[in-house]
Amino acid sequence: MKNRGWLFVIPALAVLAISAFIPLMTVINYSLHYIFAGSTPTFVGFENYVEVLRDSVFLQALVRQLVFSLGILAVEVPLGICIALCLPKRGPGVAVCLVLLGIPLLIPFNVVGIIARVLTQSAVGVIPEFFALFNYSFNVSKDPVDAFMTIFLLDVWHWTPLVALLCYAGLQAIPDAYYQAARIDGASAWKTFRYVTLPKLRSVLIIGVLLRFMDSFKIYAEPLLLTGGGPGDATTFLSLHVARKAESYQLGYAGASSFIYLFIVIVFSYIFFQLMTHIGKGETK
Amino acid sequence: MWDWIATNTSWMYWTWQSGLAIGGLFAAIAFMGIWDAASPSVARKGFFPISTTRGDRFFIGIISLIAIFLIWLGVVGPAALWVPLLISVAWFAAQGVWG
Repeated sequence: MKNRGWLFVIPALAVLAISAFIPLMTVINYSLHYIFAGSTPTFVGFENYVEVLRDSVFLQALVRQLVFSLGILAVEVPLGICIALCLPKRGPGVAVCLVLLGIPLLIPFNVVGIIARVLTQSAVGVIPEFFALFNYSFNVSKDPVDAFMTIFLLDVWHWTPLVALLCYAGLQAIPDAYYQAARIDGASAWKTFRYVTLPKLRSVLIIGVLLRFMDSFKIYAEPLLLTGGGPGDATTFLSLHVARKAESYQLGYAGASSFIYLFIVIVFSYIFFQLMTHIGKGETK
Repeated sequence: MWDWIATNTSWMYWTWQSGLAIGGLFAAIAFMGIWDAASPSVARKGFFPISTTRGDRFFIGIISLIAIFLIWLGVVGPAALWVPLLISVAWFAAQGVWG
């Protein structure tokens, strides 16, 4: 065979088989069985899928998750672009800004959850004290809106720097010639951004949107540590719901819901990818 | 060898149904790979709002198949699964030819 390049793919495929295929197939096989702690597994076909798709708690968690993830994208992407545009292009300020932006990204998920818990605790937290100045009783363990918004803002704080850094790298790669041409044509600042900067940021924005969507869809540690999914089910996201089922040894249900979970992430990621790849090229019209 | 594989993968709870499904999927992917090597796919514009290659339409077909089954299971239940199968096959063929 003339092209032996495919031989180099074999190690990667072997790693993929161990790290992805075997766990995925185990989950799919579990989803077709009734498996409870200690019991002999029984093949039940699609029964677990029917149970999951008719479970109001799962459906509520799914809607909550979609609202959260789409909200995250709607806030983090424009905010990230704005921050990147405001950063200095050269000089000593660049390093300082990049380090400051990088700090939240270095903090592990569980630490972020614990920090938020300390800050929002009703007896000792700074945030409830701050809201008390305005006669507002802020309580993440009682008020569903407070709990949801706290996790939302926590994620925005934690991950907007990633989008900003990606956009900043993208901005640095745009040649000055484009901006010079726009200036000669008398383009306004908005038109320069709309027709020069934004199209040139397309590739980094695709990466940013996909990363943030997939990551926000997997949010687990922050709500677990901050609220434990409560109050009620107000912050029970899909990952938390699936994990609870697995922890209670309902492995068939957990397998089916995991597969549906994965399927939704794949579908949305594909739609985002296609939209962002083709938008503005006249194909989506 | 098969006995060794069966013994050491028993914890995965393989069934012939899941084996057939995943085997079919891999066979289809291999077939698509060979087909593409023999006759490279060219992106074309069908009824989808984007240009798609053969691989794109295959992927959309698989995703649609799973979605049709999940919707059926959620709305109707596990009865008469030949109906979503027929719908899926018809849709798979239609979007493959005209998509």
